[in-house]
Amino acid sequence: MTKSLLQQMPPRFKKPSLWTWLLSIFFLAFFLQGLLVSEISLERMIAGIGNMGRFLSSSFPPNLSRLPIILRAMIETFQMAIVGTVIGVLLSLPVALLISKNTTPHPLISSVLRSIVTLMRTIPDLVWALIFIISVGLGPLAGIFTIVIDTIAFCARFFSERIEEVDRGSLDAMSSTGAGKFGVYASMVIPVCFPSFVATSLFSVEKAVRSAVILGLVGAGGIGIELSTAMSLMKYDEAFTIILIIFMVVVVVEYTSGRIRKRFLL
Amino acid sequence: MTDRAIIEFQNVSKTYSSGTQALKNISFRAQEGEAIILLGHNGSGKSTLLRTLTQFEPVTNGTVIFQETNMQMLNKKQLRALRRKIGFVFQNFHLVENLSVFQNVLFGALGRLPLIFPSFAPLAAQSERMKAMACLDRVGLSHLAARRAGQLSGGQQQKVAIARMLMQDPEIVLADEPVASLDPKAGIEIMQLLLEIVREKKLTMICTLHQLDLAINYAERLIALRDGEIIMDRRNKDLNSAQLNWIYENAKIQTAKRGAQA
Repeated sequence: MTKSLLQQMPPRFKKPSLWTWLLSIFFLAFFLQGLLVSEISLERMIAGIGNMGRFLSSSFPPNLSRLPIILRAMIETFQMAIVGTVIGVLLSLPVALLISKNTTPHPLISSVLRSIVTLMRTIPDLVWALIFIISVGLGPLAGIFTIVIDTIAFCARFFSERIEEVDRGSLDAMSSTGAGKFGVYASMVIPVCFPSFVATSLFSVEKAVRSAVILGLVGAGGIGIELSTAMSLMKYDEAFTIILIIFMVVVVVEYTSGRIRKRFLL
Repeated sequence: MTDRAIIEFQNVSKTYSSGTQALKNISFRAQEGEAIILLGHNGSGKSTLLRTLTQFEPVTNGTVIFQETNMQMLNKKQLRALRRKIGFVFQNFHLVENLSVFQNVLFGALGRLPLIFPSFAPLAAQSERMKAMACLDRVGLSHLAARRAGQLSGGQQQKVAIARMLMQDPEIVLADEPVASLDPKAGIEIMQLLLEIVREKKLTMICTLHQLDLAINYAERLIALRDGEIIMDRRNKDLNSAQLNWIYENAKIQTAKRGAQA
C-alpha cells in the first residue's frame, strides 16, 4: 500500500525540457549583456548624484517669469488630452461592440478589427505622433490624433473585455422582448457595462494627460516643447517650474478621476 | 379555452455541437390558455425546449410552430415580431441592476415600439410610463419604482422581471425555472403570481420546474421530461394517486442515480 502511494506521489522537481533550458540560458545571457551595455559603475552613480544635486540647486528658486506662457501651454496640453480622449472613447464604444464575441455581427469583422486595434496598441504613441506630424503638421492636432489612437487602442480592448462578460442569458432576456440588436445594446450591454466604461475612460484620461506632455517633446503641441526648450537652453529654474506645474495637473487629474470612479463603482 | 393549438412541437430533436442530445423526438400541442408545467431534472432538456420555441436554439430536426407559424422559416424581422408576443421569465431575472426598477420595466416595451429611445424613462411617452407603473402595480412593487434593481431581494427582482414581461403585452409566457434561485416562500409567491396573471390575461404558459411538489400544486397539465424525452403528459386532475406515486418513485430513482454517479 505505502509502496504504491510512494509511486503515485508527484516528484519534488520536474526535469525541465531542453527548450526551457535553452530559453533560460538565452534570457540570462541577454540580461547580462544588457547590464554590460548600460556601463553601470559606482563612479558614474556617484557622479550622477552630484549632477542631480547641481540640477536641483540651479533650479531653485523656480523661475516664474514665463508663467503665463507656460500655463497657456499646460492648458493646451490638458485640452489635447480631453478632446483626444472624448473622441477616442466615443469611437471605442462601437469598435468594442463590433469586436466582442457576444455582440459582433460576424466573427470575421471581429478578428479584422481586433488586429487593427492590436496594431494601434503595438505602435508606441511617439511613433504615431511623428506619423501625424508628417501628415497634418506640427501642433496640437497631431497630438489629438495620437491620443485618439491611443485611447481606442486602450479603451476598445477593455470595453470589449467587459462586454464579453455579459452573459448570454442577459442578451436573450432583451431579445425575447422582440428587441433588435441595437435595442439589446442600448438596454442591456451598455447600461450593464457603464460603470466599467466610466472607470476605463477615466484611466485613459490620466494616461492621455501624461502622454500629451511627452508628445510636446516631438512638437505635437502642448507643454512638452516648453520643457525640452528650457532643458536644452539649460534654464533649469524655468524647467523646474514646468515640471512642478505638470506634477500638479497630473495629481489633480488623478485625484479627481479617483473620486469619480469611486462614485460609479458602486 | 379553445381547441386551437397555439404551440406545437412536431418530432423536435436538438443535438448541441458538443454532441449532447438535449431533445429526442419531442411532440406535443399546447392549447390556448393552458398552463403547462415541464418537470425534469437538470439536463433533462426542459430549458432547451423553451429556448427552441423562441429560436434561441435552432432545432436539429422537426418543426416548432407558434400561432400557426413555423418558427424556423422566419427572417429576422418576422422572428422579432413573434418574439414580442412571447414573454420570457428567467431563473436569474436578468435585470440591469444599476438602473431603476422603473427603467427595467420600460425596457419591456422595446419590441413593441418602432424606435429604441422611447423605451428610455426620460424620453418615454406618458402612456408608456403609466403602463410601466401599472405593470409594476400588478406585481405589487409600484412603491419601489425609483429604486435601483440591484438593491431588491431575489423575489422582488423576479417580480420586476415579470412586470417587464407584462410590459411587452405577451400572448404566451415561458418561464424557465422562475423560482430556482429563490427561497421556498418567495418561490411559492412567484408561482402564484405567475398563475394569477396568466389566468386573468388568459395567457398560455409553459413553465419549467424541477421541484415535484411545486409542479403538482400548480400544474393544470404536467409534462415530465427525462434525458430529452417526454415520459409523461397528463392533466393534473387526471392524476390519480398511483400516477403520483409513480412520479415520486421516478424522481427518487433519478435522485438515487444521480447520487450514485456523484
